[in-house]
Amino acid sequence: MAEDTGIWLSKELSKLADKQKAYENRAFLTAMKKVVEEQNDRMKLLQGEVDGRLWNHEQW
Amino acid sequence: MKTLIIVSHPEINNSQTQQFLMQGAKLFDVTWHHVEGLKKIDVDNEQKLLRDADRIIFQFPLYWYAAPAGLKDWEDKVLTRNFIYGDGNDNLRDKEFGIVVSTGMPLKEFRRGGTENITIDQIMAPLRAIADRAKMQNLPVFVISQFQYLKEEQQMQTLIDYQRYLTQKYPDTLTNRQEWFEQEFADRLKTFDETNCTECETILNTFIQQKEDLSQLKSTISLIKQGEDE
Repeated sequence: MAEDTGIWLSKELSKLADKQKAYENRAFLTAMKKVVEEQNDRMKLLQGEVDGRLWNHEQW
Repeated sequence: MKTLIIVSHPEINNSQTQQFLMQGAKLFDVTWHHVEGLKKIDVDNEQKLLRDADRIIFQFPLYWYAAPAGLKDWEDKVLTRNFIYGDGNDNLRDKEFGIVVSTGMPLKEFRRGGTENITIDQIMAPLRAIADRAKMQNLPVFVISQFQYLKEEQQMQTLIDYQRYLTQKYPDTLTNRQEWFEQEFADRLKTFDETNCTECETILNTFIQQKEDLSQLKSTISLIKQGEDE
């Protein structure tokens, strides 16, 4: 769910960046999109870690 | 947070890099201070500028492994022994000290075995020594190499990275990056073209939600880790 939201957010920022005439606004929104991608990657990693730790057989 | 940029460049109007950075530095609570542009160096005034800042940045092109002569002249006049440590006031204690340096050679050459065979951090050692003596907090150097060879998207990224270097909370973690973008998006959205507030607000709120979800996941993991230790 959060993953879909992250992808949606990244696309919205792209669209918004494309609409900007001012160089600095385009630069800002494009850079923010990268942070959203970073959020998405981190989210996947952390979610994977939660799953991995919950399935730790040594704790069964 | 107040940021002071001490810029040194003998021909600043002809420097594409410095002109680009100057546009980027037009931010709230950021002061651009060009030392070669001063008619005369008024020591009291310069020291007051330093005292009033929370983050102090030295910015210059690299000339023969050092800053231009203008900066050294400024340092020798303004950074008096009494001001830095002699009078026991530690005027600059706990302020953050950063360096923005532009180089004509690629960054990869500034390492052992590179054609320059010396690292940027080694070159910056004298400035770091001053900062240490003044009990300042060192920030990592921000290097801009071969600016004119950067593609448009790389230049755009450099502009925003530079703005973050000037105003984002240290250290440069994802948490601090998210906070910076959240704050800046809210401040800048009034200047965005062809959009309405609802659209921007949805984007901003979703960004904040993602940030909070990440933070929640981190807490969950620390709870699980605690459980594993028990």
